[in-house]
Amino acid sequence: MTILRPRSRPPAERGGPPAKLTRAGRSWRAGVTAAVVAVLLYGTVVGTDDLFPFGPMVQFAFSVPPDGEIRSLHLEADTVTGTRVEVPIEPWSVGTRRAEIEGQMTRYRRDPSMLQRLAVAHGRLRPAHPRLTTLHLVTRVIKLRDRRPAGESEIEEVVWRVR
Amino acid sequence: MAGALTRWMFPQVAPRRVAVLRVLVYLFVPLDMLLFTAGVFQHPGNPGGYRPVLVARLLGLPAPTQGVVIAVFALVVIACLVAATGRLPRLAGYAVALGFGYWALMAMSFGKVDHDHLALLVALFALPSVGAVGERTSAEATGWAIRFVQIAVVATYFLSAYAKIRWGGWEWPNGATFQWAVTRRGTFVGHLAEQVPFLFHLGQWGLLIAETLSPVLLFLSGRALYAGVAFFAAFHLITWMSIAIHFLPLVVCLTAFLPLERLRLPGRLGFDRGIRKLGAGKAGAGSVPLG
Repeated sequence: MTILRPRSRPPAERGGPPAKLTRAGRSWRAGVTAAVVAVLLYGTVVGTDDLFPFGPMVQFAFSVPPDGEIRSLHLEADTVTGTRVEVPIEPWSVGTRRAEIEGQMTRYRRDPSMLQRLAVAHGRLRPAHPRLTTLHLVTRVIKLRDRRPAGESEIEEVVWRVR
Repeated sequence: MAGALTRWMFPQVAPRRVAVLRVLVYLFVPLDMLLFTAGVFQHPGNPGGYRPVLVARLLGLPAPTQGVVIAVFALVVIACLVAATGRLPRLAGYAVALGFGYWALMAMSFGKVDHDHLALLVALFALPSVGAVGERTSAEATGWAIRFVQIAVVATYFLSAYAKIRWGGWEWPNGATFQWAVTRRGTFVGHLAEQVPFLFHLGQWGLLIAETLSPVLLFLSGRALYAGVAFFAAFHLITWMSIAIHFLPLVVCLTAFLPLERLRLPGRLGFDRGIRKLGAGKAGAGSVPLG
């Protein structure tokens, strides 16, 4: 791509002057803008993610106390070769995103068979990898001190023997 | 006062800017579906995880099945390729808006909602309203479409500052949110950055202040505006390098603040159709800079 230098004189006009917006043309545009801004403000102040795309912009909108802890969800798996591996919770790996599981953790705890789908997807998406026999959904807890990591532990959340 | 507001909402912008932005946006949308919202392709295999968001429920949109996903994907890609070349700007443009809107709703209906698509969705609905770009295109209609996209970009920044305080409280800038992000998904660069004392603490204050001040972008022009745009572009680059979160759908729309009308597009592919006869001189002379 190159940058064009503005010419000193415009080329001769063809087809008359550019159209101006009519009063109605301005009105609906102003109305749409105002409506979208209003819904966005509503979504931001009292809404939830359910209002997508007008919901609050909650990415990283939570605070972690300086001496708090950082929890992250990991999928560990025993394989047919007898090893234990960490399986990335990504669409290309198990057909779902980590945040999607985190968002539905209570359902996974209540019904571990929901993990079966991940093993099936993994077999399809990563056919060259050893087959997974048991899945462990694990929460890794990192303890903070003055906003910096200072210790690590794990909590096993859900176990599922692959069928 | 009303006159000033009208001039602000309907600035005179060279129609060519919309033509160039269309190329960027319509070529980006298929990439978005393949790379960033590609989870939709997996959703038919997970009917139990479907938790439709409000708009999807109100419209009674069908749950994603294999057929729906493939059909919507094909429709949007074809409409994008047509619209990117400037043909059928309204028909193809609104087809993309509705199709990708449905796609985005499907993407966000499985327990996780992203917040980088607002400006892109606004752009998809605003750009077709300008119609064909040519000699007689209204600079005001162009100005509104561009302004609407800019408002959506700024809203994404400004409202996320509000959300940080709504949920995180005033503890947010003094907490460990950046450390949290790097611990969970830090890259090599992110883990280097975490070694620097106070960097994350200062960064949190910097981000919160920048997002709060972002509405000034809507009132700046010239170098001050470009500096502001460069700041946010750099912020996205650093975020991507350190935690692999890119916000590209928003970055594409951030370019609406730039004088895109001065870019020349590859004519061989037809992307400059309807733009070619509008020289940059015409665009420059027939309009005032936005801002």
